[in-house]
Amino acid sequence: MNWKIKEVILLVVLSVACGILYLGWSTLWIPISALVGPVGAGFMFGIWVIASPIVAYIIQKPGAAFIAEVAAAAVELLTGSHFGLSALLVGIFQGIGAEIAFALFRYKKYNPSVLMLSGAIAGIFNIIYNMVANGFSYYTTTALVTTLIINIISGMLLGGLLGKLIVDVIAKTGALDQYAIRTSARTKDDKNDFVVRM
Amino acid sequence: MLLEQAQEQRMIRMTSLLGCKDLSVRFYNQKKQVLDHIDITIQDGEKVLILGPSGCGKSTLLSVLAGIIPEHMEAEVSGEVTRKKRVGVMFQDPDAQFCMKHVNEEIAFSLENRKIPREKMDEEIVKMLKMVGLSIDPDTPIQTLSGGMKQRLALACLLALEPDVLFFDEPTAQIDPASRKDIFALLQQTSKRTKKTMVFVEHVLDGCIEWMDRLILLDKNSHIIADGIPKEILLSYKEEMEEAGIWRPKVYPAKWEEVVHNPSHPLNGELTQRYKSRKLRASCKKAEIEPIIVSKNAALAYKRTSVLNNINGSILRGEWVAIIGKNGSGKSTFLKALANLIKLKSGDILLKGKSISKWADKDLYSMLGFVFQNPELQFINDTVFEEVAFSARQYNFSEEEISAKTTKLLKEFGLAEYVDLHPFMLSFGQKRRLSVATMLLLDQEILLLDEPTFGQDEKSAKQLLHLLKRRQEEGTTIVMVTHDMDIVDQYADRVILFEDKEIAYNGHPYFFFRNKKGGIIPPLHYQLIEEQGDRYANEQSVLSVSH
Amino acid sequence: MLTSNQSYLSVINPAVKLITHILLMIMLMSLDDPLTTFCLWIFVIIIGISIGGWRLVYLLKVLLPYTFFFVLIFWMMAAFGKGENVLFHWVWFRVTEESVKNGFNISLRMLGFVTIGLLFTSTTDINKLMMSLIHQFKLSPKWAYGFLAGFRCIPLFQEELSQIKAAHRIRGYRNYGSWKAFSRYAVPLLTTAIRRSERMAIAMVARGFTGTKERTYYIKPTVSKWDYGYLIATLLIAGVIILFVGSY
Repeated sequence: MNWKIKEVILLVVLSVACGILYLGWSTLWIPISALVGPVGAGFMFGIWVIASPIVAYIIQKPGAAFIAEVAAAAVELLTGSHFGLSALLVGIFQGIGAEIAFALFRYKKYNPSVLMLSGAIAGIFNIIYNMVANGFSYYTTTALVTTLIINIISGMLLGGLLGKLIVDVIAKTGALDQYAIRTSARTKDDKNDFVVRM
Repeated sequence: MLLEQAQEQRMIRMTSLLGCKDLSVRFYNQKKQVLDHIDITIQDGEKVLILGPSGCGKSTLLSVLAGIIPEHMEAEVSGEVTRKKRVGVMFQDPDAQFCMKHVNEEIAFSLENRKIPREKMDEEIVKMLKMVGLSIDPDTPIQTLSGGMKQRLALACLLALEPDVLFFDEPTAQIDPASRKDIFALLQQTSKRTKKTMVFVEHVLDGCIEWMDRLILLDKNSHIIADGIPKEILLSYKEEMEEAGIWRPKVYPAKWEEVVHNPSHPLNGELTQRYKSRKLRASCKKAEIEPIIVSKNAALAYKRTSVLNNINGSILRGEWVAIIGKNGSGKSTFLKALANLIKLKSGDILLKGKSISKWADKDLYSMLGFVFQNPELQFINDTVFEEVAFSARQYNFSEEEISAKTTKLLKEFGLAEYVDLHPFMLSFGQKRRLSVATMLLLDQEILLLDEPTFGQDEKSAKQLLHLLKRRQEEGTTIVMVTHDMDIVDQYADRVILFEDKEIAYNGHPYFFFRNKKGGIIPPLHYQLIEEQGDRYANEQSVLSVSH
Repeated sequence: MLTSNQSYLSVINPAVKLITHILLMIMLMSLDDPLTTFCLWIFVIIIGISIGGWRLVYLLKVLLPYTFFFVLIFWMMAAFGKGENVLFHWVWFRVTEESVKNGFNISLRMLGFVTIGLLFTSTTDINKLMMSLIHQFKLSPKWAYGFLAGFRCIPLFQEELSQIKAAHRIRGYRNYGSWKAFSRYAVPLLTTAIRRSERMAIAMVARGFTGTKERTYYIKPTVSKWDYGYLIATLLIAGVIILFVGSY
């Protein structure tokens, strides 16, 4: 599918905005995780995958979810994230996870369940990345399973569901009328008596 | 000449360059058509100004003629459009027109799109910069440019396209008045030199209408009510233009020299009257009022560079204070410091006798309101009603009290019919009024405003100022950062000028304008009195010489 | 951020540099011995100071804010990890020999990531990077210029975010860690973002931008032997360090 220029720009600009929001959320993570450890702070997870459902829901094209999450992670990295490159790498994994959810439905469905599913799978892929890269395999099995479950739930609620709610509020203001989220539901009239002379 | 006759004549005459026939446009999310069977023809080399109230479709019309609709913006269109392939469009948001970091790269972007060979690019870039009067290093980062300079750069990027037609969609709406004058002068110069067709949508006429060939006036249903010579339309359609919120030109169609030399010219009389009333107001003795804000040797810094030093002075209770100065002179920073949003580098500011750093947020903000330049960034809630009521909810008022206060306030600000709308759906002027209203629910005594009339049409601006004046009469102290000298002259009791990191003037506007401090161009009536005074003095010296 | 300094490294082709640095980071990820990780980190610092235009003072200034974070990561690994030889146990914190070693490794690895990333971002101009991606990696101009336009917005968003924070403070809105708070920030920021992006896209196409490859270029990065030299030399030396220190 061919991406229009305005869709590319929208994706980048939204991902950039999400990346900046991610950084703020990351700053909150530090004091919380010092006390209760990564497992307890895991409930914050979902926000970091919110870019994918937001952008995919608006643009509704293959690749939107993946690129959005990677771009947002790149921005978080560039604006000084403490996680450094791992912010980008984990973004890649999470992006793949989110993309899978939409691919499963052939990029045609964007209802709340699909969006929540993308958050959930992103949560799973987050664990996969951590096991590969950070030595999560050093964690006890119970800790690992608990984190996985918290990730999935947080991904579903704070990622998919919250993302949908935010987009719906914005759509009401009319700002999204030029994008797939609104145009796909539109019935185009056939009357095309429009002539252009140059 | 009658409207229909003029249009017919034009239709017959031409191989039109640009125009539309029976054009109708409807955006898919709206039921109503934004343009309804419009006919327009524009000749080669014409300078056309399209005017009308907000929402009348003038920007949409421009977009169709420029080829943006329906190719890049979806809409339901019918009719016939004649347009050129190579066009340049300037928009009102300077920042949204650029995609590169440096000036030369940005101009190069236009050249790249035209497939100009790399070898020719550098000299083209220099040529363009010269044409728009930007004598800066091509390597300059765009972020360091002022708003006015950015629009100049935007023009350079457009001229680099070598377009057949230039379109301008409110190009000066987000620029301060001094830069606006410069931009219009530049555009007039460009039009003289290149003789290109130019189509404008604007709502501030000074600097622009004087050199327009043609004016097209639309009503709120997008129908053309006038099309012809600017001077005539200005005189015959006064009410419609006022209703549409267009800022009337201050002198045009009269000529300034005539006004100055002819004491019986109506404009001369009007300005002289205004001058006299200001002079009277300035000489009124005020009863002793205690200061409500006192600044003692305050110094401010932003990211380790000093912004202001030695700020001493006081603002009296119930005063309307205007803070003015060039871009970057520290006005907004100072305003934020007054609201305790920025810490002082040294010195102190006292609010009602207590140091500002000692005020608890809850107490401070029940006494002081701050209105930001961009109203949208301060909205928290989903409906207009909740937005206003929110402040009270932090203070344990009863439901009935909250409801009563909120409804009263909404009525005062003309927002009563929008109670259930989401704040983002209001028009710009309504958003601005809402943002002011949210800061007054607790009957705050001090109101700080950062450029409240920025980007608004005359009607909404006047409405807002009227509301503020009423509040001031009830005892509210108003401190406002602004670039608009007419507002300072008409409403402020005190003007503070920031220059070279210090206070350059602190006193009544009348004396400020009379003595032309700070290189600022004063409102017209002061200019009149001064030039008449000069003339008189010159005549005297001529007389004395000839004797 | 992503503006280059005037160093030797800033002249190296960005695409090649990017690959080099990413491969370095992957090599870092494969290590589980803190000493080797540390040596590799020192190696990167040496590169930075010798050809990256870094000065010790600058380095200290930039890395200092991260120290608290690294200590935290160390603590997280050490106190919550798996391990056999317990050194210290208090309520739910359990410090073992293995977890301490792991803690050092991971936190040094994070430090390494930040430093390698910094070496890239402080010596690369984002425009040159995007153009390099177009010419060396065949990225479509539509995406490259799209990214450039989007990244321009970063300072604008940061400014808007701080304005939203200030407005919330004045209105008395307190919640920080809840989902409601997040959407209060997200909705205005994203709405402004969407509107601005639409205006940007229209402005770009109005200037004749088609996103296709039919265009000329102002900046056209090329690859020379110096670029390959950097790639090979860096990875070779890193490999040597790993082998030697690892077997020590």
